Amino acid sequence: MSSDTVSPAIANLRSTLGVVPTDPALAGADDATRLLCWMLAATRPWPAAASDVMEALFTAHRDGEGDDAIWSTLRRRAIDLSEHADADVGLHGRVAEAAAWPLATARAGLVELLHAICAVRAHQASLANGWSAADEAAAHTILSAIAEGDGVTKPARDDIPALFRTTDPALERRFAFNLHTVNTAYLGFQREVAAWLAGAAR
Amino acid sequence: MTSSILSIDGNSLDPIDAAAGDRLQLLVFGATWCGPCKAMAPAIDDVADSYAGRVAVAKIDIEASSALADSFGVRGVPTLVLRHGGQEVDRHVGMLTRTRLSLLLDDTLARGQALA
Repeated sequence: MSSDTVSPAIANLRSTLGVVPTDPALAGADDATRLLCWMLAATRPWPAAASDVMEALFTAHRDGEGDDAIWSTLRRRAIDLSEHADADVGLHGRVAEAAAWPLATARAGLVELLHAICAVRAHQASLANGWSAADEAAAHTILSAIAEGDGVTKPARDDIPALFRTTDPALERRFAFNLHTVNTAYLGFQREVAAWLAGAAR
Repeated sequence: MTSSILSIDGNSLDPIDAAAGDRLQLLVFGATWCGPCKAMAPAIDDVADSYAGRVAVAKIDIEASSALADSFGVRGVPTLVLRHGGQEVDRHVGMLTRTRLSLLLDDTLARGQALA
């Protein structure tokens, strides 16, 4: 298979993840669709409010939907979903937005989908930690105050974590733990996709 | 797919004005060090292709074209400016997904038709 037949969506994703194309025969249009469906499936179970749209997108990609009007309707539904008041539903809406294009004309499709799903994984990790919106707000209030300094001088960036620890040790400990697990979850899905590209999940 | 995006590396919009004709213009102000600009690049490529008959797209580096960026009051990147008939008609500061960018273009194009 020549490089001309490599799916542009997969080529972009490879570039984003730094995956060396060891087997170009596994990067055609069918592989791109299979990868997208695998990525969407990896976000299951879907929140009830998102389920219909996610299922419709999954079916549209799997069946090679060719009607532009249907894709346009899916995009409108995805945007409505991403504006949902519930953060988890809203993040699934971002996933839906990214997936709401036929891959044949979407170089950005898989890369946008990757980032959107990573954000879902990160949010879910944060919820699992018991890290709440109130915790986040409290941490940012303290960090902002520290970063402002005493009005005359501002602390060095590297000193900020230690100053946070001094100000509120318990919150800082939970903040640092949450940050670590959220980053791990985010990067974890990138690694799963990189492994798929390398042939692990086919 | 081939990209139809113009790169403007000076301080004149003459190249995009000449290429656009009556089409809507999308000016994408960015910088080489801007991560969100790089992340958004494939989406810009996609919309440049899918809207080629209705929208002319130009990328403008704010350092290579600093006077042009200043004249548009660009304070952060990416900044997306929609322009028609020599007038700015809309702008967005920050990264957009392809879906959101398409919605912005669809709405602007629809407004243009309504006013025509």
